This record gives sequence, C-alpha cells and structure tokens, in this order.
Amino acid sequence: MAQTRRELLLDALHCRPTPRTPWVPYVGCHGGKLLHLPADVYLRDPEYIATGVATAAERYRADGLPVVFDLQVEAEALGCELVWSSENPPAVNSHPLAHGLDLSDLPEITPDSGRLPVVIEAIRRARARVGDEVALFGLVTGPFTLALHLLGSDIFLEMVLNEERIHALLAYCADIAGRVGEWYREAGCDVVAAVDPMTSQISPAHFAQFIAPVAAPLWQRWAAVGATTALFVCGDAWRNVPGMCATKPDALFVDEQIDLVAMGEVARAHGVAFGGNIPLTTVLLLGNTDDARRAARQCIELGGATGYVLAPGCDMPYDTKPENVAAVAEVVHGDFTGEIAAKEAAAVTIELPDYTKPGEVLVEVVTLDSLSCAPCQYMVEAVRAVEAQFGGQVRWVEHKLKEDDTIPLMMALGVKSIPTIIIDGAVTFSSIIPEATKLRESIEARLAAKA
Amino acid sequence: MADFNSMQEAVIGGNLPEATRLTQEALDEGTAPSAIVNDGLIPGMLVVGEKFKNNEFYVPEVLIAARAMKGAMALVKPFLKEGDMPALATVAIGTVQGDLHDIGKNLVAMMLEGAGFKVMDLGVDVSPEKFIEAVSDGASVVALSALLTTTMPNIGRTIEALKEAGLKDGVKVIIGGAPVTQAYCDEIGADGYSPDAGSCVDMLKALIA
Repeated sequence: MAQTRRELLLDALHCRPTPRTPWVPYVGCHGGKLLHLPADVYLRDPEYIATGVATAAERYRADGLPVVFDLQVEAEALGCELVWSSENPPAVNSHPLAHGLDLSDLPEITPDSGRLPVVIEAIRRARARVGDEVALFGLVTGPFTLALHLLGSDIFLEMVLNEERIHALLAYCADIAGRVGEWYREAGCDVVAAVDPMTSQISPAHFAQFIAPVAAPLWQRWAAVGATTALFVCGDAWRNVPGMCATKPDALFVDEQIDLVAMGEVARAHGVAFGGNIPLTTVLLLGNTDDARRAARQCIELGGATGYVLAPGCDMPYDTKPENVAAVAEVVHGDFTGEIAAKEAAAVTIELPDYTKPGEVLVEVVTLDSLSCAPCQYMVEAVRAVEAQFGGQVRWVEHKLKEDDTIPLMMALGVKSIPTIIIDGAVTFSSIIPEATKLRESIEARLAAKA
Repeated sequence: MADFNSMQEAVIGGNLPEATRLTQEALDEGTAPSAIVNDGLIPGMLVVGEKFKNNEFYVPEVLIAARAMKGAMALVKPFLKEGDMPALATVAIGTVQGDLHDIGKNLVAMMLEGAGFKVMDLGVDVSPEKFIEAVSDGASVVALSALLTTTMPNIGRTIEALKEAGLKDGVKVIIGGAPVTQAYCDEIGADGYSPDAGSCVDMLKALIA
C-alpha cells in the first residue's frame, strides 16, 4: 500500500529515508485568512480551526500541519490577560507572578481551562477531517516561554539572582506543558512540539542549567504516550542548538537565522531530525512565487535527503500570500506546471542543442540536483553507467533545475516531471529510473536511426 | 585614586554590590562624578554591548549589568551638575502602535542609556501622535521597534506622521525588531537600522556624528 503523507513525514522525523522531502506549512492564524475570518474569531472556534486545517492540507498539499499556533493558550488558562488582534495571535498583557502571586496561587489547569477545550476539540475535528493522510502537530508553549508569560521579563534577572525560584518555575511550566501535550496527543495529534522561542535569548550555560533538565524528561513524557516529539525555536539560537539536540527531542525546528547545513551536521550527530527555515517575511509574506520556489529549493538542497523537513521559519503571518505557500508545495511535489506557466508568460526561450550530429547521441538528464536529490542521483548514475559502454558515442549532461536555462529547456522539450532522461531531444524516461538494458536499447535505437 | 577598571568589571559582571561600593568609595575620595560615569560606568556598559553583539552575552547578562550600572548611577546622579554630563542626544523610544512586545525595546533603551544617551521610554503600543509629542518635547532621535510582521508597517506610518508634522527632517529615525531588515529601513526612509541592541549604539553614534 502506498505510504501516506503522514507516514512520510513521521519517517523523516525519525531520521528514516524518505522518497521526497516532507513539508509542514505552519498555518496558524493564517488559517483565518484562508477562511476570510479575523484571527480573533478563528482562534476561538474549533470548527473554524478544523476547517482551516483541512483547507490548508488540501491547498498547500501539506504532509503535516499544526492545529493551533498560539503560544498564549496555557498562559491564558493560568490567568494571564490577553489582548486580541485581528491579524495576529493574541498577546499576553499581564504577568501574574510579577504582581505578587506565587505558583500556588495560580489556578489548577484542566482540559476545561481557558481555551484548551477549543484546541482539544479542534484537534479531534481536524483529525476527522484529514483522516490518516496528514500528520497533526499539537503545539505546546515551551517551559521557558510560558515562564516568561507568567513572570514577565524579571525572569532574566531572577535567573542570576534567584536561581531556585526559576528552577521551581520551570519545573512547574514543564509539568503544565507535559499535561497539555498528553491531552493533545490523546485528542489525535501525531506530533507534540514545545514551542520555546525565548530559549534563543539565553546563553548555552543558562540553557544547560535551567532548560535542559526539564526539556529531556518532557520529550520522554510525550514519547511515553506515543507522540513524536519536537522543539521549535526561533531567533538566533545557534549557540544553543547543540544543547537542544542533546536533550533528544525527535526533531528540532529552527528559523532562517540558523544555517541549515551547520544545523544538519549537529542534528545528525545527535540522531535528531530537523526542520525549517523558509524566510517568513522576505519570502512568504512579501516575496513572490519565484522567491518562494527558489527558497524552497534552496532549503531542500541544504537540508539534505534524510531527517529533514521543509517548513517556514515560524508561524506564518496572517497575510502570507497563499500563492507563495502553494508554490512551495509545487516544489515539494515536483510539480512544475505553475512555474512553466510563469516562464511561458515571460516568453523565455533558449537555443536547443544540435540533436542531429551523426555518430553521437546526446543524453540530457533533468534533475533537481543529483547532489541532493536521491532519485536524481540514481537517474544520473544510470546514465553514467551506460555511457561508458558506448565508447564516446554517447555524450551526457545534467540540467539542474536551479540553472537558468533548465525550465525553458523543459518547456521546449515537453518535460513535465523530474528527474527525466532526454535522448537527442526526445523525452524518454520520466520519474522512473530505467533499467540499464532499457536505457541501452533506447540509445542503440537512436544511434541506428542516425546511421 | 578611583579604581575605574574594577568599576568597569563590576558593571560588566553585573555585580551590583561591588559597583555601588566602588562608586561610593570614589565619591568619598573626591573623584569627579563625571569621571566616575565617563571613565568607569559607561565604558563598562559599552563592553556589555559589544559582548551582546558578539553573542558572548545574552539577555540575562545584559539586564544584570544594566542593573549594576543603574545602581551605581543612582549614587552619582545627585552630585552631577548641569553640563557635567552632556547627553549624546535625546532618544524617544517605543514599540509601535498595536504591538505589545517590550523586551527588545527595553534592551535597546538600556544600551543607549548606558552609552550616555538620554532616553525617553514611551513604552509599548505607542501611537504616532505620542512620538510627535516626544519630538516636540526635545527628542532628536526617534527609535521605533516592532516584533510582528503585522505591526511592522506602523513603523512606516509613524515616519509618515513625522513627515506630515514637518518634524522628520529635524530628527533621526532608527528602527529595529525581528521582522525588520535594512531593506525595509531603506524602503520607508528611516535613517538607521540595527539587527541587535549591541550594534544599535555604534549605529546611532555614527548617525549623529
């Protein structure tokens, strides 16, 4: 039976090889935009959220999606006041622990606290809508970010002046995260992720002292209820990336401030999958479809073939252009129709090679890039192996999609998918890697026709 | 003789008791208050900014240093005479309308203050009118912060409002925040952008030089 998109994504999150790079667009309040609803209406209604998830799953051909991207849900349940806005998730406006309250004064958190029932119901309904085809992420506010909501920015001073208080606060916040993650898992999430952007603002020494001791048990707690686990950070968290990987979530997701190649090296050394980091503002919000395709291709190339998931850097802004996200999906699924249409509209043409040279056959392989795309690599190897058997009668070249002339060449010759083998201008093998005999026969037939 | 080196170290290390002790000692010895600030405290805070820029210091280290600086400054301030400490410039700083995030803005305010600027902190969710008012009250630099992509355009709107009020040419506008880039800065006609609080001081000093 064919693998579902959900299975493909889960394979990548557990560092197993996948036939293509999986992709998780972070549709948070942007789901409201898809349904023409303001964020403050969308994020308070389980039916709207489930519809937003189902819409995004289809429109963006996602392998996985967050159900709700809102780091204020737990804070609200614990008594922080929120300020709502129509184009953003709400913002926390009061910090109860900064105003004289102790941890023991905070309300008990249950699945019925604050907006938790909305999120839990949204997960159930989203699961019913997307079935087993798409993986769902339950995003939980990470312990440090929740602690910051509760205490305010005094937390940074207290980390130095009152270490015991901060240890106790983080243990409390990690327990809240643990429970909420369990509820999200029970409601139907495949992946439970702690979103802890504020951890990019502290030193590796503070990360090791305060965060690592609560993070590692948190992943174990979620894994014990069958969840795949992840940590989402944003900002320049580079110096904390090794410490984060060492806590061993299944995956670590980062934003565009982190170099994906370096990230991959650290993650792979720890056996942790990783994801990111299409630029949010410059590409998805303000860029065009060409920018989106280019960024997606670059991420896929840098992320590498195994244990990498393509994703935006962080929660997509409400006004993200849907056509840009759809363009990323085209790249992920190897669909070039949108791009070809764009180039046709721009009337880009090239001069084709001379396919009539006697005594020589030109084999062209159109690839994403044989260095980073596994099927492309096998296609190129197949050609290279056969070429040697023809003693100079076969010349071959690779056309990588990122090269300027490749799309016009594909248009001129009618190439619709990648990788493809073209023999003297004729599309001969598409997507499927030919057996050596088949490839040899095709070349021999062409040589015979030219003789 | 006041120990300016140790004073700097106390600020850099965020050691409030040591910073105040050394400052008090220097005052008791009759060291000029302006020398304590200019040769002891401010150079310490400049090192903090440098370390923040280089990722050697993070938010907690900066805040703890700023706290030591502030404690020491509180001792010196009563003895500073008019003209002792001419401020580099007066900066009106705030997070733009619709945006409630203040950590980044506070860091920049501390860095600027620590480097010898006079800072008027207008808080968060600040309307263009409030920035205009601050300029009328004597600010020669306006510092605008936004964390959200959706509030970032309000940086541009604030600049437009300054232009309409005929005040833009008389002030320098500097901007920053997670979604903000140099390209955006150029596009909306701001005078300066810096990616972090540490580099903000150098950028602004160069701008007003």
